Amino acid sequence: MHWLYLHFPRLQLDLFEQLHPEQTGPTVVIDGTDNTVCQLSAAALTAGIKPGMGLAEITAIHAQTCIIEYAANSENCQLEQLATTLYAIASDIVCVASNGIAINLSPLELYYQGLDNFMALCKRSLTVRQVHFHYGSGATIEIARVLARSHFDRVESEPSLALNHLKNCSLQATELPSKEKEQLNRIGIRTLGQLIALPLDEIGKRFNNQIITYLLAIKGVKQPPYSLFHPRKVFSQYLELPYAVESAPRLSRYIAIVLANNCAYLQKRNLATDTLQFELQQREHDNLMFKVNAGTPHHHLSEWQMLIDLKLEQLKLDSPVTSLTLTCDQLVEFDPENLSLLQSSYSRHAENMLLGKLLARLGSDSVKTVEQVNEHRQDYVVQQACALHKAPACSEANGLQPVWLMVQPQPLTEQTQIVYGPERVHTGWWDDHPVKRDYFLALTGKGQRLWVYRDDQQHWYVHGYFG
Amino acid sequence: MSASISSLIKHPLVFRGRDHRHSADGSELRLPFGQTNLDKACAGGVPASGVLSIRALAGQGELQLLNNVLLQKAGTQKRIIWLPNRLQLNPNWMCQTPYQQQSWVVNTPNEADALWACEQAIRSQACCCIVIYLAQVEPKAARRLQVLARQYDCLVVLVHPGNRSPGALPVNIDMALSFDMRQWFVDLHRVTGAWPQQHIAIEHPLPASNDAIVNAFRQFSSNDVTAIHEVS
Repeated sequence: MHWLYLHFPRLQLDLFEQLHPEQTGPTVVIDGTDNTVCQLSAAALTAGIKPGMGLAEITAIHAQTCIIEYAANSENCQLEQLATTLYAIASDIVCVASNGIAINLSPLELYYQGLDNFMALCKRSLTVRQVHFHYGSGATIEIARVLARSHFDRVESEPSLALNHLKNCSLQATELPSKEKEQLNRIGIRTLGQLIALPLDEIGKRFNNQIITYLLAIKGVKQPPYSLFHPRKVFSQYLELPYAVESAPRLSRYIAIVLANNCAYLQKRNLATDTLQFELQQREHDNLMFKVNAGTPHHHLSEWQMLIDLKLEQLKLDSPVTSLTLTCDQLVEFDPENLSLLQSSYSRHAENMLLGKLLARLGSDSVKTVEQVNEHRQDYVVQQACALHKAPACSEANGLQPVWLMVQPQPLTEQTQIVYGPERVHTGWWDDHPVKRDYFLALTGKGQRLWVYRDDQQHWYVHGYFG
Repeated sequence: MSASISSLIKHPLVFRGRDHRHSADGSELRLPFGQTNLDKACAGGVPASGVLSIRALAGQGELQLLNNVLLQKAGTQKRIIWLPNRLQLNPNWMCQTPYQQQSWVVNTPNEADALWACEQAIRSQACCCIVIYLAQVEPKAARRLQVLARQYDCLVVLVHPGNRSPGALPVNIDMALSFDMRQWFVDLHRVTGAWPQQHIAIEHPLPASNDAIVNAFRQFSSNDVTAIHEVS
């Protein structure tokens, strides 16, 4: 077997730099368990900050350093996205820890007619994603990993050649626990070559089985089992925000990242969706969930972004948002509309896009078609106005009907002249909402045509207007 | 200065380069109201694209007046968007119209959202006509809708009371309905391709009346043989 290992030393920082390109000063990521630097930007390196430094040291060196807390969840999600991207060019992929991807090169050498072709493609795919990485190769994942963490950045044509380079790698690049590394340093063993040279049974007397298993893998004797990566059947991505966001429209730039991944996921599979579900984790309140619906399933980034921006304008946050999750599980096959060349410019797609915009900004109940209601009580005609769906053609007329109805009839207070009526409506005794009214068409002095009624107490009300 | 320019612009023979909606013989496509006096005053009717502003109170029958125009527009089979104000559109009335199936009713929480929805509907090119009701209209908003509606070949019918919009709006037709002693009139504050006119008499019949019953009683109550009831 021949494995390639890609080591991503600063995934969280890479994402931060993508989201905030205007941030040019020193930036570090702090491990919350011991408050030491685990990732740092080029500007931070230039300023003299080193990995492992504490907060006090950092601020003493450069007071304006931007500090971000390490989030393993966020890195895991980024790694999953990278693995999904690489899945398009390689099949046997293993995600290792939160910052490494191993790829089995053995089947790819034949497929790509040489490892150089594959490596060029791999580097280009990762460069597009704007992530820093180092790589190495070997007979086992552990060998490749040590070389990658030592910044070897070369793929040998034969796995056995990697063993020669392994000997000069520092113990710091291995996965040995810190305590064991310190122990070995004290007795003068600082490189992997020195460690491998020791007899295994002597090492076994002083260290536990975990170390022995690791050394066997390093020597290429036996590799522990790993599960291969498979992309999810539905899209879901979690994103930790570098800062807590208080205003919903400001979430747009962060949502754009996960949305781009979602659209790429859909396009590669020739899928589309008309619903995106978002979950916002708020600092002091429960998670806020909302959906964005489009009028028609599609996978176009710009159109989705516009609908999401419309939704965010109306969204109110209870407290600052610290992270978000996008889930897209309602997938259909993408079926674009075929338009005739000679047809007029009207298309159902335009109609559906309009519908999506209206629903996103005004709410899911804002757009309705009209269907005849089998009800003589005008109050219930208004309440039963149907939700959006294809309206059936109406079969029969329903007598004289005003254009506009008042949800709540108002007492008639102005002088009017009755010009038509009465039409008696006496119904509803079976459902405890009886109505007994005499409806008239009345005319005001200004020519307004009112739909008025007189109830059984002889009170007069205005119920509608003729448009 | 702007007053003199506006009267110059209103001259029917002044051609504006942006006006490009024309029929085959070079004249602009217009949709007649179906009323001779009014169509003549409007140089043939309502321009097929642009804004038609109607100043009318609730219940003055503005949609009845526009019925012919809406029917012609509905022939394109594109959507008709209704943006009501405070009142609810009666589904049973809509079902009696020929354009029920192509109509969408969009409810908005405020007038700013209504204007936004109108603008989006115009830009989508999925709509042939938009009927929007507002409490008041700013000339700037009306102008914006006019430009968009002309550009995207859409008819926008803007209905408002008119009491808070002094002066003519910068649209194709700005008209007001008025009622005076049983006769209806239309005042044209602005018409593209024609001069403004006041007091144009129109026929605006009631949707229904008891006239047939009253006439029957009058006819038969005078004869002692056929009289059944007295009519007061």
